[in-house]
Formats: sequence, structure tokens, C-alpha cells
Amino acid sequence: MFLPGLAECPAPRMLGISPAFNNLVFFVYQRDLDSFIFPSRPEGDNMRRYWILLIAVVVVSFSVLGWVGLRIRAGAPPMPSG
Amino acid sequence: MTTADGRKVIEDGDIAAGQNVWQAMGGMEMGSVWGHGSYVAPDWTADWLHREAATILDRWARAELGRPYEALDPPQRAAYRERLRLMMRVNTYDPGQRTIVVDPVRAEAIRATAAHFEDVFARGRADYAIPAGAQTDPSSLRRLTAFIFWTAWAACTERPGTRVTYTNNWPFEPLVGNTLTGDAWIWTGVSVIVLLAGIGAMAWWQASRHGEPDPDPARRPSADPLLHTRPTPSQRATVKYFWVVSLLILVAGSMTGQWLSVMNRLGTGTAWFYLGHSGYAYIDTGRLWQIVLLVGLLLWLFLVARAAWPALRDPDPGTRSLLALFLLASVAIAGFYGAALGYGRHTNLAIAEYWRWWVIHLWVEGFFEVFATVVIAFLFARLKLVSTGTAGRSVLLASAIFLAGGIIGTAHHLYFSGTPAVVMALGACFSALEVVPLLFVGYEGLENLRLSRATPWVRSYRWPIYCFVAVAFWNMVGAGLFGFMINPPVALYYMQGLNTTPVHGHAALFGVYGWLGIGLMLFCLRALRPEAAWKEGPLRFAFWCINGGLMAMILFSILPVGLLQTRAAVEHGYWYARSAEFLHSPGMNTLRWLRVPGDSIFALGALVLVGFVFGLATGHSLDRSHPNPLEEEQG
Repeated sequence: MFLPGLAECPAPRMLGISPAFNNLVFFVYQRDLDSFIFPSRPEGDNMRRYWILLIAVVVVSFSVLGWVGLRIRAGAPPMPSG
Repeated sequence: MTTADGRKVIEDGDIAAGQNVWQAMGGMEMGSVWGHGSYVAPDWTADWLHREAATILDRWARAELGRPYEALDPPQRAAYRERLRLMMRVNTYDPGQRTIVVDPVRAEAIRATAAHFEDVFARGRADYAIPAGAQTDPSSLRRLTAFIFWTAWAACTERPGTRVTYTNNWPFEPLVGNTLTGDAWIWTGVSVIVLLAGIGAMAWWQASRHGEPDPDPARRPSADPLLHTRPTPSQRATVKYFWVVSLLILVAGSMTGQWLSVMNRLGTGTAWFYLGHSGYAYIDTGRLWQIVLLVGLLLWLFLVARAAWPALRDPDPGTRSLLALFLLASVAIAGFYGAALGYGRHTNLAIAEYWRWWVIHLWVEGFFEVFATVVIAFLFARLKLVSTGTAGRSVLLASAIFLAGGIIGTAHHLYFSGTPAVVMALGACFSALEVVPLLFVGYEGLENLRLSRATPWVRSYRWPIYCFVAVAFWNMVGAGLFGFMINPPVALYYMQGLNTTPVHGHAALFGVYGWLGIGLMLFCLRALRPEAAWKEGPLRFAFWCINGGLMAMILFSILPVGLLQTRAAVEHGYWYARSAEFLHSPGMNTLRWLRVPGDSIFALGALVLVGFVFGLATGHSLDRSHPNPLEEEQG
């Protein structure tokens, strides 16, 4: 997948986005997203990236769920002594 | 808890002790609280709240106007309702003293409502399936009603600094101003948009995969790769393990303990907690049995890991990934039952619910999904119908997608169980994402069907594979469609604890995990003696009976009952949808009896399936007219 002219597109500059950041987005887009959707790398390499994705999902999700638990504990309806 | 003039309404410690009485009697298996539990008896929270509110209105009307509340003009009733709303919603809890102060008229209403509930549990109610003498000890009855009062108090008392109650205004009860919150509306809208965005992203991804080349058909084996496999001694030994651990120790022990606890035979000490009934649905067993189950699961994990560990050194990354994911899912299934140990005897119900859903949700909508995906891919890879690389990549991505919604999606069970609004926001959005892969699971079903016709010898595996197609179908219908039906906060606000929940529960639990279990069982039976041909007629009959019976049960009975209950909840208040007055009306009784045809067809299919499996041992289910491929090879 390739969108010609994305790196030279004036829109990011008009929105105040620096050319360096624009180039970085373009690089990630062209090199990573492209090959993520249409994998052409060696199988082991792809597999490693999928593992990283899975581990990141699990770690971030459980962190959020743990935080939810703390909020529930802090906001649980109080039980009067009587 | 006292009145403004200092009179005791509830004795010190009765609410906490009452929670234990409720748990020991079966808790969520006997009606529900905060909408969680079983559906024959009322939701005690909603029932108490309505009775208490109605009693106060009537006492005011009789004392001040000399007429019952129902006989008043609409403007007079409206004025009393507003007065009631202002009184009931104010939060008088004093954190320093840990006390609540109530108005004298409310204290009288609490006593009157408690008397009604004591009568229900002491004398029984046939409509609620509660027998006479369910609880006869006066102090236990007093404590039990104190706990039910507390769940209703939390449901109508505003959180400090907000205009919504501790249960986010659940249950819907117009008398006390419990109506849908702004958060419920907003996060319902956002969750629908998230769902649409997810479907769009998934469709794009599926379309991008469309061009991937199929595995080379020429590399598929010409004969069944499992033809020469024989079960190892350790595989045979697991039979003893399952009989001893599963049936003798756990099932017999825990069921005896639960029966003793429900029948009040374990005393008033702590024996109910360790040996009896936890009171929390799906993790019902006493603490000792929970620990035994956890140890049993860890032993199962050890057996699985010991067999799979050497294969992790396989040079093929696809095989390694499949096995590693299989092991991780097994670790999660075994380990996450440990969350059941997260609550103790005196844990606040809101926190106990959090841990309870860790077990139920993270098992069912998280790691069982991963396990099912891995196992099915693993079996097809074992039969060499798909390459291990393709299977490994697909399973890793599918697991990441399932878990991205599934883990945080746990919060969607907790919208109204004493949790802050942020739980609703996260739960609504992430559980909507859970639905996305389920709507595309048809791709998996079609792929499985295609594989069942890939080579002639695969035909002998077609019934296990059809079971996996059924898994895909029910995943989409039961988990995806019926799951989302009750998922948005606005829907669940009215539908929680109605028959709409078992529509989702039965279709998803049996449809997915029932069929997965049957499919795996048939696959193992097939692989034990791949040379022996099966009589397929009974299997075909059982397959269609079980699927048809399940669908008939849902479409002709529990779905219409649930939808009519929802209408009743919206029009009259949640308490009414769960009341005997509504549920035992003639029309609802007819709909409930309409379960019989579907259930009977389902049961007939199950009996034929059991007969078929026993017939494999006796030889009655084998087709001896079919040539034996092993003998053909030797000949």
C-alpha cells in the first residue's frame, strides 16, 4: 500500500504539525502498517510482531481492569455498622 | 441505623451478618440482588424498594388525607411522589459513626417490608419456588431482611456529590426517581458507534486477507495422519484423574456441602463459608471446594504442560506459537479460577461482584474463546489441513482481537452493582468491541466447512468439524447478536435479570462451549480408532435435534418472555417485570410452557448422542460394512 505524495502533503504543515513528525508518520505508515496488513516479511518475524501485539493488549487491558477494581473499592456503597 | 429521634431501626452488625445468612441460604440462586442471580423469585432489591416506597406513600395519604394513596387524585399523588423522592434519595450516611439516620415514617415502612420478607422466607411462596421453612431462625430472618434493605438503600441513595444513586439509579423505579442516567444514554450511543467502527475496521482487515493464497492443496496428506496413533498410557491414566478429582471429590463433596448449607444444617458459624454455599452464582461452592477445584485445575494444567513442553522446541515458529498460545490459554483457564478466592466472608457485595465476574467473564468471554480458537486451529494443523504458520498467525491475531475487548469488557457486568460511572463507560465501549469478531466468525465457520470437504479421508472427521461450525454459528448468534441485545447500558438498565439474559446465556454457553466440548470429544473418539467407520445416522439426528431444540427453546419461549418482561419493566418499573403477579399471568404461563417442545427435542438429541458414544464402546455405533483402511494398508 502506498499513497504517493503523502510526505509532501501541505495539510500537516497547515495544521501546525512539524515536517519531522509528518515524515515519521509517513515512515511508520509506509513501512509498518503496510506490511502489517500485507505481510511479506519472514514468518518468524511476523509471528514475533503478533506476539508483541498480544502481550501489549493483555498488559494494558489488565492494568485498566485493575484500576477499575480500585475505583470500585473506593466507591462501593458503605455498609453501616447497624 | 436509627431514626432522627434516636430509636434503633436495624441492630448493630445485622446488615453484614445478614449478607452471610443470604449467602448460606444460596444467595443468588434464590432470586437476585442488584439484578444478579436467578429469575424465578423476585429481585429482592427492586421488590423491597417498591414495597417500602409504596408503604410510605400510603401512610402519608392515610394520615394526612384519610384515604389510601391509590384513591388520591393524580396531582395529589404527584406531590407525594416528589416528597418521597426527596426523602429517599438523600444520603444520611455518616462515615465517622458508620450510621444511617432515617425518617420515622420510613422506619415504619422498613419494619412493615421486613415483616413481609420474613413471612416469605419462613412460610414460603410457591410462586417464588421458596419452600416453607426456608429460614425459620428469628435472628437470621432479622439479619437477612436487614441485608436486603441495605441493597435497596444503596439503590435509591445518591452518591455524595452526585445526583445518581450508588447503583447508577438501577432499578428503574419511578416512585423514588430512579430513571436512566445521562451516562447511560451517552455511553450507549458511544458503544454503538464503537461497534460500527470496529465492524468497519474488521471488514477492512478481512477484505485485505482475501487475497492471501490458500495452503497448497498438494501438500495435504493423502491419508489420515492420525491413522497410526494410539493413546499413550498417560493419556489413558487421565481417565482415572477425571473420575476421582472431578466426580468423587469435587462434585459429590461440593453438592453435599451446598445442600447442607441451603437446608440450614451447617449452623450459624463459619462452616457454611468453607464447606457450604458461597451464595454467588457460578462460583457457588464453599471455599474448601473452590480450593480443591483450583488445585484440580492446576493438576490438569500440569498434565497438559508436561505433554506439550517438549514440542515447544519445534523449529517451526507456527507450531511453537500455536503450542505456546495453547499453554497460555490453559494457564489462564486454570489460574483465573483463583480470582474466586478474591472475596472473603465480609467483603462488600460490590467488590465480591468484581471478583466473581473476573472468573465468569474472563473465562467465558476471554480465555475460553482463546482456548477454543487455538484448539480448533491446532486440530486442523494436526490433520495437516492448514499450515502451522497460517494457523499460528490467525490464532495470535484472533486472540489479540478477542482480548482487546474481552478483558476490559468485564466491566459491562458491573454497570449497576454499586460501581461508579467510569465502569459503565469502559464496560459499554469495550464490550461492544467484543461483539465485532463474533459477527465475522462466519468466515471461520465457512473455512471449517471447506476443510471438511478438503480430501476424502477428512469425511470421517466431518461430525466433529460440523460441531466446530455450530460453535461459529452460536458464537455469532448467541454471543454476538443476543449478547449485544442486552449489552448497552440503556438496554441492560431494563433487561438485567430478565429472561433476555438467559437468551444470551443459553445460546452462547451451550451453543459455543457445549458444541466445542462435544466436537472435541468426537474428535478424540475419532482419533482413538480412526480405522473404524461410524454409523452416522444417530450423529446426524443428535446434531440437528440439539441445535433445533436450542433454537426452539429460545425463539418460542425465553426470548418472547424476556421481551414482554422488558416492556413491563419500561411501563411499570423493574419490580413488576419480576413479580409473580406478572410472571404467573395466563399469557406468560403459556409462553413458559412453550419451552417444553424445544427442551424435549434438545433432550432427545442429547440422549441419542450419549447412546452413540456408549455404542462406540459396545460396537453398536460402528459401521462394519465399511472397509478398514489399516487392513487395506497391510493387505
